[in-house]
Amino acid sequence: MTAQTWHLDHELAEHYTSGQAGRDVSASIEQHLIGCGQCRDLLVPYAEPQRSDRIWAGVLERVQAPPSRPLERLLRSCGMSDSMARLLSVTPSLRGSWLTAVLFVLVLAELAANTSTGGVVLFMTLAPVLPMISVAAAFGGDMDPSRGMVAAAPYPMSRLLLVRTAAVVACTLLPAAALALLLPGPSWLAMGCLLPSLALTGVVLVLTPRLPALPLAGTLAGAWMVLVASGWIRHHDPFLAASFAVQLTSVGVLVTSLALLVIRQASFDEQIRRAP
Amino acid sequence: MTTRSEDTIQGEGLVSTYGRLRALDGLDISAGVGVTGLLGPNGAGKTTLLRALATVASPREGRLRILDRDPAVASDRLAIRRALGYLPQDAGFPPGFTAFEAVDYLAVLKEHTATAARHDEVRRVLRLVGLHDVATKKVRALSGGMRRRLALSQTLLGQPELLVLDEPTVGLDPEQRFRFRDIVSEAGVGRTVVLSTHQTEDVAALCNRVVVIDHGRALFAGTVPELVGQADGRVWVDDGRDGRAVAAYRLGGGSYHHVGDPPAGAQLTAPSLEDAYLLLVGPSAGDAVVGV
Repeated sequence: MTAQTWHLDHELAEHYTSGQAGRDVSASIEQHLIGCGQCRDLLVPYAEPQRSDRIWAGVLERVQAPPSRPLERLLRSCGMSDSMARLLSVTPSLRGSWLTAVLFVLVLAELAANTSTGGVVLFMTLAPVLPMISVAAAFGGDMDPSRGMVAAAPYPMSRLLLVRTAAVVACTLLPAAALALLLPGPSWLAMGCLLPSLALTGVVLVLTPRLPALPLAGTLAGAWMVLVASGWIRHHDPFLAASFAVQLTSVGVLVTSLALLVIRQASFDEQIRRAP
Repeated sequence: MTTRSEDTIQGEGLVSTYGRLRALDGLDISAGVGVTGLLGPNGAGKTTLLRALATVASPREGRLRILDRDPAVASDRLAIRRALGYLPQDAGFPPGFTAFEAVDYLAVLKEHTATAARHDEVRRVLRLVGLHDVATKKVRALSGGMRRRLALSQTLLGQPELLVLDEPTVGLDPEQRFRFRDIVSEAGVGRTVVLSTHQTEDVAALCNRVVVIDHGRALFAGTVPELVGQADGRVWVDDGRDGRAVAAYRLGGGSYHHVGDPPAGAQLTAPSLEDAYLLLVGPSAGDAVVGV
């Protein structure tokens, strides 16, 4: 038995390179080419270097840059651009573990609320605070180890911050709102936790260039807990967060925060880069 | 210090403060195309200066121009950032990312938005630092030297005009440092590289210009041979330790290497860059110079 019994001629080479040789013949040629330098040399004039480069680049693209992160795949499937999905995938509080933990705590509070009034207080305490803490964790100091390099990049930091905030708020506040609808009592009362949550988030955004985000969020969460607890202890009202005064104050704080962010956008951008 | 028209970095009277501490205390600096090394003890002001050059900190006083632009002006600052590669001292990457994803993330922030072209650029810089074979490995699985090279790779994205590297060789073993020097040396062709280091060997091997900083001021600026020349006739070897020397250390053979004003009849020896640096900064620099 001989190792090589045939070689390509110019006609077959032309058929093969133009894609007209058929599947079986092409497979046979490719098998033959592995062991035959003479035939590989024969194919060189027929090969289009640009096409080869393009195919090789495509192979590299598939092999070396797979869309491996579930969050990125999800965001892309929602129509988000590849680069924006990558920017969001870095966000610590958008990781599955974080969101699962937030949802777990909210569900537990929800279950507690269905068994006692104290549980309602617990839910009304946690539901506004968890989205705010998640937002603080989205850009807070040590949460991003690449922060030093990010600060020197030309990408606007304020845009990065707001995009991450929007994504985190959507992923944490919407489940909180959905669970709030299941609380005992009128639904609109439970939904009263949404505005304070947005207001607290606004305060974190405005103050974060000057104060460390996570300790700030912790302090605000503590203040909120004291407010809700005092409403329960003094007035036996588990829905103090839904009171007109709290809602009005929340609207005021939220509008002021947004106005400050818009007015001071340029200086805000630089302050974030140099934030503690 | 005089600045030259061809200098891409020109700083005069720079002052930066942290509370009462004057990290930069009227510092003058200039640097042009090529590699400029900043030498100085811990707390001398090197990192503060590099942060100012990277536009992530602003000097309180003084005049600074980078690539013929004023970093105090927003539009100029953006232009500088677009032409800048910055390696901070504590460069890290998001947890769970592969080497490719980590650099790709920073490429997005450097405005490389077209996906295929960006991925090509990421592959290019990973190849430049010799990490293309580990592109799909998690960053946490890479060695310390590989991570440092990975951090260096992101500075090369988009072929920037200016590289600002804060202690790029810290924590690297000799073989990794050698490789690092090769990369930085190549990067310094046709562009401005400013790096800080404690390693005088790095400066000698890499830099065509050296600036010695202490207490927020530039003590020396010039070439390596000029700095070494300042120690001519001020380095000697003796069998015993001479307490009058600025610095002294025991050599392997048992004799002592001295830096300072030699006594009459001392056995003079050729100075090294390290000797010149110690003479300039004084004995406090000893703890910052490896090998002393």
